[in-house]
Amino acid sequence: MMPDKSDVLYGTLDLMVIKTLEALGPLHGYRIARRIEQISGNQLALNQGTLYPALLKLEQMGWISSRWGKSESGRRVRIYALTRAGRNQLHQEEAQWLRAANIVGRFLKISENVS
Amino acid sequence: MAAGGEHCRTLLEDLGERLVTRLWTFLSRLWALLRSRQMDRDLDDEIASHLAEAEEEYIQQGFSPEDAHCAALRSFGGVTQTKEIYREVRSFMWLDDLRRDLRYALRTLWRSPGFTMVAVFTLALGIGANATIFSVVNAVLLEPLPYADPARLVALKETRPLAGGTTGQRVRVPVSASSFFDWRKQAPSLEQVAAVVTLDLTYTGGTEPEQIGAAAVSANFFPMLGVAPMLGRNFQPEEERPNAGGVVLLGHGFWQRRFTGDPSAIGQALTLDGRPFTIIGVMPPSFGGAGSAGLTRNAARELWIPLTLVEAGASRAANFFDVFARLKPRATLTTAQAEIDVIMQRLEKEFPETNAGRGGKVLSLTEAIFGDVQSTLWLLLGAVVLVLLIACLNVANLLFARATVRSAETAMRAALGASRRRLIQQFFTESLVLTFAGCAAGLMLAWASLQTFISILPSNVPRMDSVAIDGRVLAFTLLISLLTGMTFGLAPAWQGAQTDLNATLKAASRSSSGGVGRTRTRNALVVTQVALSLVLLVGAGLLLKSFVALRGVDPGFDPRNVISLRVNPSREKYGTPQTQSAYYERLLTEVKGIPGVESAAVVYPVPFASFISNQSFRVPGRPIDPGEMLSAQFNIVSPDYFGALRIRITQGRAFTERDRIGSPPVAVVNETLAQRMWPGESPLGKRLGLGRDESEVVGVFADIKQRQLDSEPRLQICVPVLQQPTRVMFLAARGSSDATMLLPAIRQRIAALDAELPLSDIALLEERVAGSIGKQRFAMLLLAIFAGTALALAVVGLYGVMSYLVAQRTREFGIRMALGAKLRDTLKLIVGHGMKLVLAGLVLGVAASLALTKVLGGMLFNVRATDPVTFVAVCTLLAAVGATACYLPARRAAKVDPLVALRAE
Repeated sequence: MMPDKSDVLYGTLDLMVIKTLEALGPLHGYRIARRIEQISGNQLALNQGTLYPALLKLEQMGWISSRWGKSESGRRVRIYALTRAGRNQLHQEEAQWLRAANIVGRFLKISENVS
Repeated sequence: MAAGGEHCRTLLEDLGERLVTRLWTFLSRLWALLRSRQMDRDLDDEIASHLAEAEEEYIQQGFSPEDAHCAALRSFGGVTQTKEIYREVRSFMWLDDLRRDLRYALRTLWRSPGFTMVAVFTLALGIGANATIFSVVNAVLLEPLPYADPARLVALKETRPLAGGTTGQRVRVPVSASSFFDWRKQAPSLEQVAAVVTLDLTYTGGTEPEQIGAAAVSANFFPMLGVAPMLGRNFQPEEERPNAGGVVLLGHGFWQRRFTGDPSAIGQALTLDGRPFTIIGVMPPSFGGAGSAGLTRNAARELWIPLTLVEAGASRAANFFDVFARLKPRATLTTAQAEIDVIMQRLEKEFPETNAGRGGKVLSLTEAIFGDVQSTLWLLLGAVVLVLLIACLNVANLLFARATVRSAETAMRAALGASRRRLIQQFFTESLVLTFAGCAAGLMLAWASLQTFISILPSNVPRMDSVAIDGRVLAFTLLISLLTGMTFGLAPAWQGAQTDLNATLKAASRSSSGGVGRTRTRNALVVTQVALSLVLLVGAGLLLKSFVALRGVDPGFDPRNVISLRVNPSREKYGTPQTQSAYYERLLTEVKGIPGVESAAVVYPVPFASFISNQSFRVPGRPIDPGEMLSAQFNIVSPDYFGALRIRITQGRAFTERDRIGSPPVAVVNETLAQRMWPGESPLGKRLGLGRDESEVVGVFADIKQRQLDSEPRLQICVPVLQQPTRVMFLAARGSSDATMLLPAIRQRIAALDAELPLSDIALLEERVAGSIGKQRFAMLLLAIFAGTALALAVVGLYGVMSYLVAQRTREFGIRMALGAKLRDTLKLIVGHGMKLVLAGLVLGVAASLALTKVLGGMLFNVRATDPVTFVAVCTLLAAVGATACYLPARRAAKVDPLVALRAE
């Protein structure tokens, strides 16, 4: 068996999705995907399809909600919005990520100094 | 501290939140499960609009429409994979899998209806047979007896050496009154020792006189069983005394019939045998019917009266009590038996003239009631389990064949990423679907055949009226079905999933031979099947041979076209020997006058009645061996008895009208008695002590069977009814053709003589004889049915394997024939292969049968369990049938045009 990479991806992807929804308000799937790609400066080779299972999972956990609506071009799309539980979760995860990133960043700096 | 508290709170909050999240997830998955089709459609829509949006953006960036389409797809990644992952997230994986496997299984099974029908039918046969037999075992053997703490209840019998039997053989007989009192007082292991005498009472309150099955019981009988009357009260000890006023307890059925279930029946009077009885209570419906028939010697009882017991002067010689008792809490059957043995040994010394050779036997109540039936039913259950096993092997074989045929498909699925577990799961689902279909069909089969089945049960099986498919039978059926499914489903599933991808895909264009291992497994299955069916066939063959031998036994009389019934003149009108003999003389004159009656006689008891009569006798002047009790089967007969039943008189004469009260007492004995008492002498003119009198032997008749066709010859004595009359007699009338036609006329003549005289126990003599071998007939019939089923299944299995083998090797045969092989060579090759399997099965089966048919030993008559004729016959049958099953597919293969065969693939 290959090591399961998707979990790692889901973890970060989840955070990116809810952060996007916090920043831009309700969006449909394609917009979310594009936004993530843009923010990451197209460095993240995202398979856009993987977004949908992630969205479903977030919805199952009650962090986002969805309803059917219209896109800018008038297509019938599902529009996702952050819920209050999702907002709480985002704050927690944000803090955790920053702390983790901080530690890793400091760690990397120390390593640089040593070398 | 404060920080700690805060920490705790956050932890709790965290935990709570996580729980809520979990719950929410679970609920939404559950929700998704219910509307999965809608969600599939939603996802399709969502992906479509996603792709459309992307395409639009690419077009705006200057892509051509086609390029935009491709680019959109590329940036999306795999659409199918997305859907697959989405589904995994959406709901419970395994449920979804199960649903899909089920759908797939149903679809594939539907697409091969031949296979499905054969498999389901095979399973239905096996499962249905098991459900049927188990429903009988369940009702008859497994249901606890409806008494308090039935494990502590015992039945007690007296034993004595078998009259005229070989040494050591003992028969169980009812208990004498004095033994009953001795056991009651002297056996510390027993408490509440109760006695029962079954009798028939004439009830004259209805439209016509009726014989009601009744029992006289000691007052502690119901408390001993732990059964109380539903209404009213039980007997009091003082009601056992000889001059106590008559009281009676009604059976539930009788109460319903005669008093329409009216509680005010209690306290009313009932006339039985011309005497008044006061109704003191009603027994619950569960008591007294066939459900407790085993407690009493005959059929259902509907009335109970107190047993009048006087210890002083109680008889040691007359045995007619059924005795039951409850073991004290720490007592066992062994301690009780030891105590009874001690008592009986002492009595033997004390009263040698009555008790010489007598012993006692303690049996558990279950043994006493079910002893007879138990072994038959377990045997049959064993047989159906074998049938089911054969059915399993058959289906497994079919599944193996299918797995081989489908190996290309399996390999394809594996190549596309199905894990081995998923493949096994899927094969297994298919087996389970088959099993449940088989289970449902089997239950229907059991349900449909149950009534037929009950009708062939021997009539003396206790509790057979409660045989039904109840919850326990359903549970059992489901359980064996599951086991079945696993037995036949797992191995093929495992092997099916065990595909070597490369080999299979490479070979996919040509049908593969399925590998050596697989063929070997299938061969083993066929061999086992043949062996198992041989075991069943041998069992059935032995029972059949034994049954034929039993039926061929000459009972010593001619039972054809003889109607027999019991005449019960009342004690009041026919109290004296004179009135009795006068009545029977008149009755016979009347009956002989009926057109169509060839001859008629009265006899007590008629051969093959539900009971026999035994009488001890003396031979004056003959030295008595210590311990020898002379006892003979005893019949009171009218002069024309020997003529009417066509019993041969071999010496001297039969009785005449002149052998009546006042003339010198006479007796007629059978050949066995004559030879044993007076070897080498003429028995005619010899004296025989019967009771107080001595009778002169005036004739000898050929031995007859009185109760069982398989019994050894017994000592038998007949005395004339006109000389030693008794009140109750059987009338036996021989008709020129169907004797049942005589019945209305006989009834009419009897009523004309005395309108208040009830008849009972009406049966053709032939029916009585056939009824005596009902148990053997039943076991033989069922085992034959099961063996037939097994044979059919084994043949189908063999045929299946051979056909498959032939189909697999068509190409090879084509080449062989193209190279000049003859039709005969090909036939020989294929049939030879099949017959090797059959022979292996036969060898194994014979070995297994030799070990297993021992359990039949006790059921066989004049046939040994290793009877070579049966073994050879069964082997020949199986070999012949097996050869046919091999020959048919072989012929098909051999007839194939080599060219067609070569092109076939």
